[in-house]
Amino acid sequence: MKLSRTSASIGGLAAVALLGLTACGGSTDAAEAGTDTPAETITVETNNGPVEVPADAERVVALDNTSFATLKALGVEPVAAPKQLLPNNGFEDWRDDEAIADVGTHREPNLEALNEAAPDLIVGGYRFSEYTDDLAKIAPVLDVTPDAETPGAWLDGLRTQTETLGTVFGAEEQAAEIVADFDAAQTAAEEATDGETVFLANASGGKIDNGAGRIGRLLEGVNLEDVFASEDLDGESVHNDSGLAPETVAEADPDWMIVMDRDAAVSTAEDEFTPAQSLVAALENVWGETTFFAGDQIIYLNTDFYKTEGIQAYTEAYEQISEAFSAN
Amino acid sequence: MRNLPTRYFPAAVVLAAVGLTAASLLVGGYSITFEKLLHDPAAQHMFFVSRIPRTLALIFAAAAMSVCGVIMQLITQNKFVEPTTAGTAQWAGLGMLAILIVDPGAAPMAKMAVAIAFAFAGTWVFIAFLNRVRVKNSLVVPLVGIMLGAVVGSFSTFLAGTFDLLQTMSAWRSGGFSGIVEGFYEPLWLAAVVCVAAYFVADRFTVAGLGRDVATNVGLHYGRVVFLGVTMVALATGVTTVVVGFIPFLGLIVPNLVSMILGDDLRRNLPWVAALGVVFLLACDLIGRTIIAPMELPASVILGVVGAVAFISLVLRQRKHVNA
Repeated sequence: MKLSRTSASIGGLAAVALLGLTACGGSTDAAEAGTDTPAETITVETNNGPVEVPADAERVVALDNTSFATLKALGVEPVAAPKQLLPNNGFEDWRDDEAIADVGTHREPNLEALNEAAPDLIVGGYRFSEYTDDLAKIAPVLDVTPDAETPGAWLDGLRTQTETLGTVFGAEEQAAEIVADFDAAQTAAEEATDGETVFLANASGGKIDNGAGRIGRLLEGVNLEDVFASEDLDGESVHNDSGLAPETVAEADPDWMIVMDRDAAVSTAEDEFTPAQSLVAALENVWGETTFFAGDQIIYLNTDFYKTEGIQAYTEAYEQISEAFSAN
Repeated sequence: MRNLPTRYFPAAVVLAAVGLTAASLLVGGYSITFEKLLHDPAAQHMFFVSRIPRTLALIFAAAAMSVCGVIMQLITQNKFVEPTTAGTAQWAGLGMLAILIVDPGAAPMAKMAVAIAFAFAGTWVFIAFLNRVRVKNSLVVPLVGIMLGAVVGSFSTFLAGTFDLLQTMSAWRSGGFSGIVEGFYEPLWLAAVVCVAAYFVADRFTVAGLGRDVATNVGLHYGRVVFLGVTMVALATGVTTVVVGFIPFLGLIVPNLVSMILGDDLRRNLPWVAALGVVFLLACDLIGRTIIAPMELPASVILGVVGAVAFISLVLRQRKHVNA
């Protein structure tokens, strides 16, 4: 998912320049919001090395969508968040809350609104990782997003992320529960699967394409094999998400198919809009004879998966996998 | 020397078109060989639901975009105008985006109708704009079109960004035939019908291409012909844009090559324009299909590279005749 970020960076620069100006002016919102006595801090390990964060952070900005659900579970209510990146379901309260400032998206972040929210901690990283330096001038930035680049690092990263957030917000027990749920789901999925081949699909723009670049991490925790993995298209290949003709999938004849429904994740439709299902159904003529289609061995990830991708999303995905495989 | 390409051109184009069509039918992700085609029912089935639809889609889209190019070039009396340089395709894209925002679950037919309506309106905006521009030298006209297209395109991008549809837009904008199977390409028959219809009214466009004054003097209802041309272009471009996305430059390179070799008689040229367009697009799609197999690069990406080079060399060639 490479995006043009020029305009966004310019916006970021402008906001930082503004910050500089307000700092020169003397009075800042942050000073008014903070207490006179210096707060206690703890040092945590992040993707950018050790960072000192306040031990009782109260004004939190949530930017990293992989951690929204965890923050919510730990009882954290942010003062600012990218409202467009909030999952469609389960975050209506945050989205509708006027008190939570909207910081735009990673493509066009509204760093002024973020600054006005006077945070004392920013949970950043992932889509916002390039702004870490700018954001650090506003408040300490906690980037504990799982490593998406290194193969095999995502799942451990999810655990570490959850544990670190638990420590920072003094909710170690809840965090441990979340990790335990995840471990249980992952183990069950690993045991339910037995080396079957799978096609990882992404439904986007009315087309079904290879989605291994995005959801290939799922396979780290289960005993499945990407049907196109042997095609010399490893995780770093730029062609990992390139077009794939339906007949090519039919030729590969995978045992299973796992679909990320990107169209549904960004859909604003209120009705029962299921783009991926209808796309797959329309391909019956081509896929009718394949193992995954004939045996109905297709798993549609939660429609919010594209916007969540956090430990809860993976827990659910593994539950779906073990349930589907046990039923067959 | 000038006669040599003129004499052999038709035969060469037909030969290339037939050869590439055969290649398009035989190359792909599913293993289909002559042998299997005769005996293996699975391969036969795949041939009919995947290969033939895709090849037909390529042929129809290529013919439609090339023919649209000629029609627009005659209407505007400019060699550099075609649906993607006049903004028509960008307007169709905006229409597609509009329906995605308003009613994402809409039927394909509804999407197409909206895209066609937008393409139609957009082409008129371009023509109305041209009527108000005094300097009509050969570079100003396409620049106006490209500029309008860029404005519409940026607006689409802004809208897509606002409604979180950027990836959806780019997935569909990149003009690929990889997803085309039975059930996805059928609307393109409408584009094919437009091509055939264009053949029957070709003479009128040829006369219109001489300019409003001359055309009116020889008894042509100029306004009606322009309206007919815009309608045909909007229909073909709208359908093609919705089904396969933008196909850049085809309408630019192909008609110019053909008129360089065969002259400017549209009725005689039209079949060759369509055929050469098919050759170009089939070749680009086959390249995209094979270089990173089993994945695919969209034909429009390859076409963009070829087209950009062709566009620049055409401009440089024209500079000798035009004092811009």
